[in-house]
Amino acid sequence: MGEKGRISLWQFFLLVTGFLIGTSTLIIPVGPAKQDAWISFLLAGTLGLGAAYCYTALGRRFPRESPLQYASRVLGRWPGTCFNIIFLWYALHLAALVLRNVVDLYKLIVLPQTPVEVVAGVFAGLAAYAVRLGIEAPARLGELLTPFIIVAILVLTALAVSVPGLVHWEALFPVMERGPLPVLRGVYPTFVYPFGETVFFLVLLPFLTEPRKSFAPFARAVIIVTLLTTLVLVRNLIVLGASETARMNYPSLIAIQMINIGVFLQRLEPVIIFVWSFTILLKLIVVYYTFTLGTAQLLGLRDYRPLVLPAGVLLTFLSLSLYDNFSQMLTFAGRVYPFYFLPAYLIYPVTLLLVAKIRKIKG
Amino acid sequence: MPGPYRRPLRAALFRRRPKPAQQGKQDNNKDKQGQPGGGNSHTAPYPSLEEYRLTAELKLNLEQLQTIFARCSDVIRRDFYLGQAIKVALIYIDGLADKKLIEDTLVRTLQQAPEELARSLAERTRDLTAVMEMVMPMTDVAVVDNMGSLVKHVLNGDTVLILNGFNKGLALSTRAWEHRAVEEPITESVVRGPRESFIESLRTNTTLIRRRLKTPSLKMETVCLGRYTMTNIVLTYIEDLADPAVVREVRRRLESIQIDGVLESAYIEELIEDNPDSPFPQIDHTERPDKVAAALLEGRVGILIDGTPFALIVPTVFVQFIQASEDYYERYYLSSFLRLARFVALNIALLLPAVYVAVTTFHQEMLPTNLLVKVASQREGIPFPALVEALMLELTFELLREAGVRLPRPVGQALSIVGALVIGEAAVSASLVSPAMVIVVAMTGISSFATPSYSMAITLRLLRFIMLILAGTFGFYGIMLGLLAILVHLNTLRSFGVPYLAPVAPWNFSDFKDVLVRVPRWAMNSRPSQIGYRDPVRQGAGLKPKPPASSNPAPERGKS
Repeated sequence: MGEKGRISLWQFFLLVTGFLIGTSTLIIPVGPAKQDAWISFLLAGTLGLGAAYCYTALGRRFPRESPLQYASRVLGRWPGTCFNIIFLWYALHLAALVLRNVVDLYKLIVLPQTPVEVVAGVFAGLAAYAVRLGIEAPARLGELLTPFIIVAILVLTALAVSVPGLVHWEALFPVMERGPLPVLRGVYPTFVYPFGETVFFLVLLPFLTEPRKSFAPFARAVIIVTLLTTLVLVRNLIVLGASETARMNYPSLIAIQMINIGVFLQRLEPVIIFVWSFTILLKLIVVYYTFTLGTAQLLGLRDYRPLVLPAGVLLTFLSLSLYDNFSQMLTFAGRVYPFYFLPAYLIYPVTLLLVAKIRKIKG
Repeated sequence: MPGPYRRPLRAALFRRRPKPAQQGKQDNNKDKQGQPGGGNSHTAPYPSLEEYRLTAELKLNLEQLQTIFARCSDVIRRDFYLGQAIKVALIYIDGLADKKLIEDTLVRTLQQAPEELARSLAERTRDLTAVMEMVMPMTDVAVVDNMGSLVKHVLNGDTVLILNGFNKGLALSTRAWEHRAVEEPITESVVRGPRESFIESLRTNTTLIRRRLKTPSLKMETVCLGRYTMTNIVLTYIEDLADPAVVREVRRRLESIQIDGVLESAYIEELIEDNPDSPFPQIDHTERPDKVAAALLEGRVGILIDGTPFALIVPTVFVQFIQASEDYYERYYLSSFLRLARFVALNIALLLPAVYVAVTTFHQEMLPTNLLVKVASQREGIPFPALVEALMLELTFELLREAGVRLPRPVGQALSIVGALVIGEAAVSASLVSPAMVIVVAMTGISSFATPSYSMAITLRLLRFIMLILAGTFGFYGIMLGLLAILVHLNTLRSFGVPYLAPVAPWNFSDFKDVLVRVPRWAMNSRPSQIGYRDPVRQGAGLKPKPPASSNPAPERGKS
């Protein structure tokens, strides 16, 4: 489909890592678990390993094909096409959501007076440029940015913890105050978001140099991001406390803002905003790419590039009309999204895998 | 043989290479349109010089040459008798050939050749090899049999000897012309390290490399480019190390160039780079022979061009532009520190004015309060927005620099004084610009000078203006977008198949020994994996020097 690039396992690992960090360190729903949210997240990460296993099992079964290509062979022509269309809709929706995340961030924090259309359009234009260049450019971009992102998050966390008087470890206690149930209830939403969203890497798996070995880097990325996000969660909890963390729009941002070392090392939030912009761009590129390439595969086009620009315009305007304000988004993300997203991350891959196993279809 | 030599049509000089399939098509079209004489007429109106063969008649040959070199006052022709028996002629160009050698040695030896030899030559019982074997005082001799190669030899400074009665001539290498002595490099000077620089003479430059790499594996292929300049271009590489695919690709790209003249390495650079639309330089150039030798040892390919002291190095990756040859000659701690400093300078040169504008225009809250008060009080009464102020000052700085580069040295000093006074003092005290802005622009200027590569520095200079405008319109968002766009663009670049950002992306940890830090020589065990992979092992293992266990001699046992 006009894509001849190949990505190495190392690039794939960093791309998945960047994707998962994507918006998850930006908006972490604390949910019902309150100060135990980090336990929920650790459990969700464990589930994420299961998801990674399921997706890479599909990838191993069909090493040189994307699900858009084998779905109709596995499920039959019409059911397969329906599944594919639904899958692509979720890709488009997620791309729009991701774009909206960055727009909201800039609208609320950085550029309150700039029209959102401009912010969204410019960012989508940048993503479109990257998507047009094929998969190799984003893969190398991930290679370049993800290590920097991880280091930046670690350094910022270390700085926050080292500020005297800022840290209140007692905010983490008591552990499981109301029994394990709230913790378990917090697991599911944090699993879907971000780990369930990695389902879109199914479209990228065929471009790996060794698609059969995709599980190890995938799992490593999930583990690293689980640890990193847990760290960020714990940092936010001990700096801000559970109720504040749940109430704030961007708890990480506020926690970083509180860093003040020797009057000089302060106001570090541009660093975290840069980091978020990088990760959101990576995530947007992956989902956007999935959508355009998937559409091209669904329609049997020879090249996906003509679709990039229309898709960009579409997702820009979709992103601006998804919801009216930030609290709607939080409600959507916390209550609706985990269930709304079920067909894409669970039903689609699991059905494909099971039917392919039963019908003994292989790539 | 075609008739007497005539000047070919100008159009014929630049004719395209014939493409058989397409030509047939064109011919068909022409026939259809009924144009007479389509066919081959545009490919060869006159035969090329190579088709004029030398004749056995010396007089005829000389007449042809007379036509070819008509009104060329620097061409010298000298007729005399070899061994008083056979008439010969020497042709050379005054100033290109070593006149002293020709007059003192060549002509005298030939005139005093044994009569017996000359007579047997005249009677055709011996051929030209006898001349070479018995009387020729030179070693570098080539046989020419057509006007084309004869003219080429003469124009390259050789002396051509034609003998009456032979349809071949001898081209004797007498090349010696005025050129600069080997001096210190001007653009890449070092505190420690060799102080030789390339010069405009290609032969000297190849010698400078050959003297550093004394191995028959060092290959030097010559390509001649430029229809009028006939510039010799030498493609040099170490056969065991360079990637043959890269060498083949360089050769192919060089040979596909059709141009009237090549005067500087930039001509070649622009015609062979991978992504001609990119603002970033994709081919490194240097005037240091040691840098070329080091590049060849890594498995790269050098391109030397006659008439310029700058050699090209391919494939080039981004990090080469923050590496200086002195990094390898100083202690590695300092080198690593300087690398990091240069990397910071690179970022400052690109971003500092943009960040300043973004902070003062959009994100004042980012500054610590004391600093904010200072900056705000300085900007009090400045009649321009920060963006305009920055653009103005940057532009002034660029103008000053440009003027300083072009002016003769004594005037240049006056200019820098005026510039410093006007910009540094008067503009600030007239509160047209704020002192902080002057500091920012000065810092930026210094940082852009700290980039070892001039071509990378000028790219950053241009991008700086774009970043400045982005920062003035979108603040940090614009800076971030600009940076990301640059990164995405850099990720797409390749230089002769090697990704431009290697070894960072694609990641290769072992190559990091020479990116932001320079590891000590004893740890530089392998060549860059993307370039020198054919023979990755560079040196023996365990080269780290160790002192002997103890400086005191061990007590000898059994003696007391």
